[in-house]
Amino acid sequence: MCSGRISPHFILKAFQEGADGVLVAGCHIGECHYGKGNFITAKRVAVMKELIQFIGLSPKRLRLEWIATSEGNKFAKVVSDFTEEMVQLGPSFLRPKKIAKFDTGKKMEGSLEARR
Amino acid sequence: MSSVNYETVRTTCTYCGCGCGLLLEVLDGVVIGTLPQKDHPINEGGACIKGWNAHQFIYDEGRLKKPLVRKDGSFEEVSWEKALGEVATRLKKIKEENGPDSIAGLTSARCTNEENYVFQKWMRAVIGTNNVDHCARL
Amino acid sequence: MLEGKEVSAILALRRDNGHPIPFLFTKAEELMDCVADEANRYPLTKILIKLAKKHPNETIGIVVRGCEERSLRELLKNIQLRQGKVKPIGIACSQELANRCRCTLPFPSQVEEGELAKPVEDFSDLEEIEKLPEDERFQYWMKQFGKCIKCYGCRNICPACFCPTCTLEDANLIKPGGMPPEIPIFHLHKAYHMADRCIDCGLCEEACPMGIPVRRLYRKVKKSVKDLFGYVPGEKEEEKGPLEFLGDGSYELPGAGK
Repeated sequence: MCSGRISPHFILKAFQEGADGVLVAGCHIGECHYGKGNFITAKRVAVMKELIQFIGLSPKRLRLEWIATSEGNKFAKVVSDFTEEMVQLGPSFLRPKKIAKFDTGKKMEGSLEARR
Repeated sequence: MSSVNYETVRTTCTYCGCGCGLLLEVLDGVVIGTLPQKDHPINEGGACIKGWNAHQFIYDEGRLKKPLVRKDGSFEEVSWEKALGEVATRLKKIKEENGPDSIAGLTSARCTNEENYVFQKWMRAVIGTNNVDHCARL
Repeated sequence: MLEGKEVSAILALRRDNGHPIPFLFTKAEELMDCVADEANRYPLTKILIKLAKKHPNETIGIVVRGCEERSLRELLKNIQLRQGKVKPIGIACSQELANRCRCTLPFPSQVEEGELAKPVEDFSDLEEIEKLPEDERFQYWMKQFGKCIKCYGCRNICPACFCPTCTLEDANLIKPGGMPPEIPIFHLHKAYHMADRCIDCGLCEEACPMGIPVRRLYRKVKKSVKDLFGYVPGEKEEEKGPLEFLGDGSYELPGAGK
């Protein structure tokens, strides 16, 4: 599948369902398996970032990365960095207030441990 | 001469009691769409979803075109006299058995004012009840 | 033009008992009632699509202002109208109309009537929002979107919206039912589509019965596309919007990774 398949509407739906962050990863520019798919991904994500910033969601919550299939380590690093960044930013304003499993009644702190 | 015939007709929405001004778009004698009227004092160019689709009931398949009487579970087409005779007999029977207030009449906002007037007059004077209402009063 | 048989009919506004409403003039005498510079605007280009669909062989003239000409160009690009079958007749808007609409180009390329007004470059409505901090901005938008009654007015009246199957009606992308609909994405779905199609006519905001400032959203995306890709919808006849084709890779997110 190509990152060009990621419709910006999917990104919006993810945010609406309460996602704190959305990471879009595709092949490097010039190395798209389908030719030019990632060209349009770059343009779409750029427009989406401006749009969500205008609404009041931080543009850092949407991230685009070029990761080749063989770059396993890079993928792992990007995911952990992104997760940590989202923890620092805090829950998205669209997150439903009550999440049955995790609602311990305790005040939410910034780090991952307090949320577990 | 051109064969294209398009015009917009100013009218009022039939759905609720607001009475928003609408323009019905008529292309070659068929109503194809609705636009809210910009300079109408009530809606000023806006309309709710019912207003935007106010033209859809005109050609709907569910509209009755001929008098029908239910026979053995299905509808049979009959003449006006037979249908009206049937209605009169049965309503008279109900009125005799249960009194005039057991009958209620519901008319429609899609009828003209004159038709609605006749209907409520008939309910009050002939049937003898004031149980009469219609959808746009809600 | 009507007499010369160049066009079979002209689509414009006509005064009917004091109310300007869209009308198709087929006889030259009727044109006496034609109204031009009018504060009450209707999406004439959208009506033209319906006419052209039913009568594809007729050439129809249409009286266009600046914004409607931009809309014509966009529709021609998207093959909703055919090049030889539409004859635009340009008129210019007055200065007060241009100020009211905050129009960046209140006259079409060829003007038959009217004086050219000065374009208005005013982005203060966007700056007002961008001044606010993030959470206040979010509160402001959710409060505005919460007024939505899902009338689809902004989509129905938009001259750039012509898709037979609309994203807003897709049950997988937006949960059906519920008032207000799923916000903010109900408006953001359309805003993304408007990124390279919005001609900034302002009909959407005038058609919203609840007074939601949707035009600001679309102007913001339009400005982003202009700043990022240098594309303005409706400006040139042959240029396609950046989100309509894959591209040549010349645009890449600066330091893709942030």
